[in-house]
Amino acid sequence: MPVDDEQLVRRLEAMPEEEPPGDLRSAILSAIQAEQARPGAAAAVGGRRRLVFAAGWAMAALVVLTFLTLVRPPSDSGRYATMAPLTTRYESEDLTLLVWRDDTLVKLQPKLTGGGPVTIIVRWDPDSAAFAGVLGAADASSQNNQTTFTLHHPSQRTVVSLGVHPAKGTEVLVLVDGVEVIRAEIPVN
Amino acid sequence: MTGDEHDRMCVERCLQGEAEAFGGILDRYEKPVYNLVVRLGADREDARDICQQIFINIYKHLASYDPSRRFFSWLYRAAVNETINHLKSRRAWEPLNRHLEHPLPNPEEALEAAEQEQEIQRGLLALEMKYRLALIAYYFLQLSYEEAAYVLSVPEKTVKSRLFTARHLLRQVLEERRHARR
Repeated sequence: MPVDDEQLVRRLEAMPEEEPPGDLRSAILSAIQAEQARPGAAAAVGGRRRLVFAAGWAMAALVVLTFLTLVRPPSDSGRYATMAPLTTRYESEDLTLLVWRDDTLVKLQPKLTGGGPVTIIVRWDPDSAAFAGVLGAADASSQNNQTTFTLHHPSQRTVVSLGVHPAKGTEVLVLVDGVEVIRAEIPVN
Repeated sequence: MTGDEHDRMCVERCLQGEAEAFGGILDRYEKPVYNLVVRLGADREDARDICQQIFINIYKHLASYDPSRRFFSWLYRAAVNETINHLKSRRAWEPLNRHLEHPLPNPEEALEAAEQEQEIQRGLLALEMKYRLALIAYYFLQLSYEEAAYVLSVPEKTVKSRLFTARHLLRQVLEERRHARR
């Protein structure tokens, strides 16, 4: 009996997928990290910046660990935040805010959609979040509930790092030239 | 967040020096890329190495990704090129994947399904690469004509005509094999 076209298409579409080898993912990630660590090889993926950031995050982590130790309830269930890998994007007319979790930190990166310079204020509730660091803004000044800096152009990468109380979550406001443009909720994990 | 947004975000984070964000790319594409490589004719052992190379190359060249394109079409295009280069570099074409020579054991249904899958896969491997690619891009990767055209680096109308010819040739191959078994 001849094979008709429709039947053939059905069979093509029904072909099952095979599972990749279990160690493939870890092999790829190891190779990438080795590539990243190779001197001079990582420029294409932010290599030099990475070293600067790694040092920055190390400092920030110290500050945040201290904060978490202080605010953590003494007989907590032990449920520290399990950090989600995905980034959330908030948009306003002038600004995009990227928010992601990185281990015990929440990172916020406001990016201009138009031209600068503009003054950015990132503000948080000091009862539920603590400032850990800001990178990529030479003029940044920070208090216990906000940090202020200038964004000059859309490609400027400035990242604010916060330690967020694991049982409370928090809310972050972003102001552009004094006007609130984004309100981002950082939920409890 | 849509899949495309997720991809772009992962790329952006990788470009900012967070290599671990590449895990988000692997979550979505490790399996389809592995299957693409196998369908194109690599055996399992080679497919593992080819996949690894594809993803490492992709990572190294993330800076050249144009975010106005969908990430997966850029990835699949690189994957197709890498796989074809690898297959071309083999000394001799192997007509079958090595693993297909060892069909799954019982139960009966699984065996029948496996045989059907092997029949199609063998048919695919009997086709010229350009026809195999067209079928894989359209039916397995489920790309649109436009996306398939980009992945295969040919015009859209060429994708359509290759698909038509590929289905015709595959039907012929399957029928010939059935006759040969009788």
